[in-house]
Amino acid sequence: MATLRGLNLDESTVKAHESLVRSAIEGDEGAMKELMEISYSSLYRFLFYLSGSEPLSQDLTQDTLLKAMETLPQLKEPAKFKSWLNSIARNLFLDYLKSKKNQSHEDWDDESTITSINSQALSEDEQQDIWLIRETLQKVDPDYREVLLLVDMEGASYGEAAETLGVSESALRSRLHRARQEFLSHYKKLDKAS
Amino acid sequence: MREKKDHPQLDPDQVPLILRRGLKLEANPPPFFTQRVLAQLQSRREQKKLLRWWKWAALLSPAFSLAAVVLVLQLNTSMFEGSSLESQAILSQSHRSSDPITDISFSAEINKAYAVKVEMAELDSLPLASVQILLPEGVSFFSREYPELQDKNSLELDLDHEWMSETLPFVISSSTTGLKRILIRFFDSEQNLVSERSVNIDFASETQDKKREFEG
Repeated sequence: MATLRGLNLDESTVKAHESLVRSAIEGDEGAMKELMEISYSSLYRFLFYLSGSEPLSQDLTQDTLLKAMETLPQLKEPAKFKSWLNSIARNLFLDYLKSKKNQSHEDWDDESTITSINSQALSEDEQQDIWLIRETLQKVDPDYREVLLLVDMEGASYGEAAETLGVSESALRSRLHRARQEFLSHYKKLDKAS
Repeated sequence: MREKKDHPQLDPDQVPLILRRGLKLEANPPPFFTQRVLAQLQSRREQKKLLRWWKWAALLSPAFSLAAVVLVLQLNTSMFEGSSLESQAILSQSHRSSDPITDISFSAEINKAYAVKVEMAELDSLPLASVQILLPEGVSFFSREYPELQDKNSLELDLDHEWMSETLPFVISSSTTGLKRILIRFFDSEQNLVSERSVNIDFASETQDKKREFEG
């Protein structure tokens, strides 16, 4: 069984995805549209938890997909599309942080105003989980946050995550270990308080 | 009221389980999102095309007629194989370099415009897609029609445009004296460096140049 970013998918689905990426690389606009549509949700989610801000994650998702479509010819391995896309997203977020000089996220939404959550499909518990995870991640160092999102939430392999972050696998493992400890420490406090 | 989950013995290995609950968050792209992105993409490509056209128009402007000396750099295609390349430099005017002709050095005066023409006809067989011209400090591109070129110390040009002549022309001047090296880099379509040439120009003031001539 093949894996696409740690998700167990059958071989035909993985091949179909790679074929879609190849068509998009060749400039097929239909393929580009489809690729953007199927990538949108996971990309938005990655940026939402990374940035903690719904409006920012919407903007960054658009910017990421625009940049990805623009530089798609530079992608040599279609199978690495997802980690490549996450890499673009991460870099755009880091650029944003530099430009804003670590201003606090004043536009945080509380749980009642996260409008992009399909609240009709989510139970109250699930909505609370999302809010608590977001709050906890925002207390965690950004370097730790991204490794938690890539590996523990999105299921990327150590190799894929290391490639996205531009670090060695051993550095990634070490970072992940510390990240989990920090996350847990904040999570327990917030869960208790909520 | 939310039922509290029990976390009596949470350990770091359970963090993935916690975080995967966050996968419940899904989002759909807004209406017409992909169309907007593709439209923006198209717009960016148009802007780049216009910029490329501007660069060529700037270089091919009537500024050439002001050049006191035309420095012609011929590139020998047989030399493109391998890493070591040589070129012949031909001076078409009375200003001659004190160095032998096999040396790619020229003498020139500061604050005068010089046209550098790189003959391209023999390069057709090479997989060249773009060229980059890098200027050292004190040297700037010259164009009366597009004075904003003077602020640039490098220029990148595509080599596949209809308005590209058989020579790669550009006009430069220097405001400071000394030996200046201009780099001309050729890239293929994947931005791999195919070849690099340099043109050395020894800029002197008018008085220094006259003295140089006198001393032969």
